[in-house]
Amino acid sequence: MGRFLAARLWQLVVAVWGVSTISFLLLHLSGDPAALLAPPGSSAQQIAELARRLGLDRPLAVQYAAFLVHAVRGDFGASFTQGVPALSVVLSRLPATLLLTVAALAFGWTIGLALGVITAVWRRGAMEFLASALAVVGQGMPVFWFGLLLIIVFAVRLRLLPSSGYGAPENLVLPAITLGAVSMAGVARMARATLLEQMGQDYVRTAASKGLGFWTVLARHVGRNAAIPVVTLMALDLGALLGGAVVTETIFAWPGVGQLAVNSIGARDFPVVQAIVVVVSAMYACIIMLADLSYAWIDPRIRVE
Amino acid sequence: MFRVVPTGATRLADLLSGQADLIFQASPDDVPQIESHGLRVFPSTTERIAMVVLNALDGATKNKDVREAIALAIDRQAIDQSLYGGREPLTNVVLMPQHFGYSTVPPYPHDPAKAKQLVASAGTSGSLELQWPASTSFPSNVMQAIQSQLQDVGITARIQTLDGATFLKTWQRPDRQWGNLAYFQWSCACLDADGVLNPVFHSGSIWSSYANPEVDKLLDEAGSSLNPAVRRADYARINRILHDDYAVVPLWPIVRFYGGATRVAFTPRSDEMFYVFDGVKLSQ
Repeated sequence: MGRFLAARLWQLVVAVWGVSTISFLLLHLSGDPAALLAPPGSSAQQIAELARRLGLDRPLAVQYAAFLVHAVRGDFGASFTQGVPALSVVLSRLPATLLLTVAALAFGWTIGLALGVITAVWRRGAMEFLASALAVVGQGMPVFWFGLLLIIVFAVRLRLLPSSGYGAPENLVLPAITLGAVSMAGVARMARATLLEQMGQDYVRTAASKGLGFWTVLARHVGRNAAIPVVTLMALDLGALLGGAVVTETIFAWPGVGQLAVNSIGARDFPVVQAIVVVVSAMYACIIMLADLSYAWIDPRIRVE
Repeated sequence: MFRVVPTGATRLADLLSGQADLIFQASPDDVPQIESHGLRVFPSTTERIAMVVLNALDGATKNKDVREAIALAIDRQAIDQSLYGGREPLTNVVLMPQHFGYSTVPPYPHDPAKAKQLVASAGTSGSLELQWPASTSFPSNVMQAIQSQLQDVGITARIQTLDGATFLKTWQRPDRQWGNLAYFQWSCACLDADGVLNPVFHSGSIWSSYANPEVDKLLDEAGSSLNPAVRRADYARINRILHDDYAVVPLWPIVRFYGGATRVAFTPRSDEMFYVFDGVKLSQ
């Protein structure tokens, strides 16, 4: 177990290093941001001076080495646009993104699992048709379009929920449904497929012949056997939503990391973009690691070595 | 309370659902919808001028005949009519009457026949290919309309769409090899000709793709003189030179739309600044 954890932690470090290196190179390939940060009318000399002050005039290898040395200590430098440490800018936005992600997953997983069970149990009925249609719509409709439709119906027409904003519980509803819809569809399809596969197995017939009720067999035996692919999908979802809430956050003016990423890339705020990449990729890698560890708990036949 | 809402459709929804009292940068397409809800629209002609800048320092547009051909090929009136319903007040210089130093010059006539002749006489055997870096921040429909009008006179303008930061970086290349023409909107929020003409046309400025010692001299004099009459005369002369040299094709000032609740009275400013206690009144 200890060796497994150490190996996984090492892989995590390598993955985060790889991702941050690629993003460092891509960011610097996009040009130097001094011209963008300088006020209109600045001379070439003033722009060069600004580039020197930001350390952007040094060779790329020197900048990269400095970035690595500081990044391992959690220091990504000061934000070019805000002048405060980049990591603190990102961490100040993280709670909003975590709140949205957790709410979206709670919605997506609950409804998705329910739809998966419904379509697996009541096959070829109206319920399956309805649930499948919901899953297809959830997966097929672009997030920005779905979000705007929700706003038009629930905020503009019915005036039940706010169209944008942050702070009150009702502000969370529409963004969470928008973001959770894709996750819901994926979980529903995966849950249905694995449940159907498991329900045809011998152990289900054995359990039923022992006299166990249908729902008991489903909950105690089938559910647990079908859990591994679903948990894998959930872990991937959680990571994807953490980094992928960009569109939802922009539509609903949600002050999270996604919106910060868009603004920071537009402004070429390298330190903030780097901090976002490292924080989000580290969280993603941690979640995948926890999912791997959970397999042994779900299925005792699996040994973590 | 102020809130940053980046998506235009969400800003509109905020207004229509009663969540916002005043929204900035409503799209012209939103105006009928806002009015149909019984809400208010506050239009404002700004001092931000839309223009097609021509690179007089590099490539085919170094040739004055090519620049003239471009100026004569663009039918501003037709674009304004078809895209904005004729709402934009056309301008013949890159300044508004509110700017200190404003003076006007005759408009470039729309003369496709002469433009074709100029393209042919520019030693290009009747067709010419130009590079056009474009920012996603600017209206693509206007650029495509101009591109189509240029095509009609034998000029193929290749639009290369870039994000805002990359566009600026491209335009500011020290060697000035950024392409031949670019759509741009400029505002200094200062209502003085110096804030527009100096950065955009003074040689050596990172924004300038034009070099003319006489213009430089006049800009330097106007920028350092405290005599309003001297400054006015200098800027009038500069406007005339830029016009005669086909340095730029001025289009129109940008009209901004603000949407407001029925209880809001608001007077927008042409410099796009926003002062709560100055411009906004709320009735119960």
